[in-house]
Amino acid sequence: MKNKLKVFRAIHDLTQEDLAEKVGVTRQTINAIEKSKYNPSLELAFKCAKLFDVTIEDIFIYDGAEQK
Amino acid sequence: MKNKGRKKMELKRSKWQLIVGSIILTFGLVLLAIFDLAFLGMGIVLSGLMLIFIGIHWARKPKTELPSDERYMRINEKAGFNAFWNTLGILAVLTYVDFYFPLGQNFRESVTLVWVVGTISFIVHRFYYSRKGFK
Repeated sequence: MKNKLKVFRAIHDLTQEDLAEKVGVTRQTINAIEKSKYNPSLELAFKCAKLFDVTIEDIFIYDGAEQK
Repeated sequence: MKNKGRKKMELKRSKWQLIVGSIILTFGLVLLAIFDLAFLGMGIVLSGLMLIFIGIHWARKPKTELPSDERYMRINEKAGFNAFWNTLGILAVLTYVDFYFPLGQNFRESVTLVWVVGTISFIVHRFYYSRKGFK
């Protein structure tokens, strides 16, 4: 799964720590999501989408990659 | 540029570590001073001090660095699952070895081995999933 979290974060001028605090996770988790090392839960994806006032599909793009 | 500033210590967050650590520390000091149990007393004093230091360490960390979110929970779940099967595996191997080369009554050493394998497996898997990531 690809994502544009870093782009939206830059648009809203937020650091990883700021975003982490707003959505209630650790900075490491935001970093892992941005590097596509971790797929967030649906709840976290909704929180991010709501924060940036976009839909989940605008941030997270499902590319059909095989699940590990 | 944003001014991050120095994060203040939130001792309230680690109050249980500090309270229990202080109690253990006091207990160790009592054992040392009154009952003259140097070895046991020192061990308990060290345990208390470690708990207090852990509490202070967590209190100094910003809220966004505390490992209690969904990713850490999933890492713990995956590492725990793998550690469980590794522990079961080592038990199976021990049983198999005991079948052909009887270990006798050496239960303590067997338990220690199982405990070490389980613990190390959990720690290694946690580190692995934390670094490499998972989907």
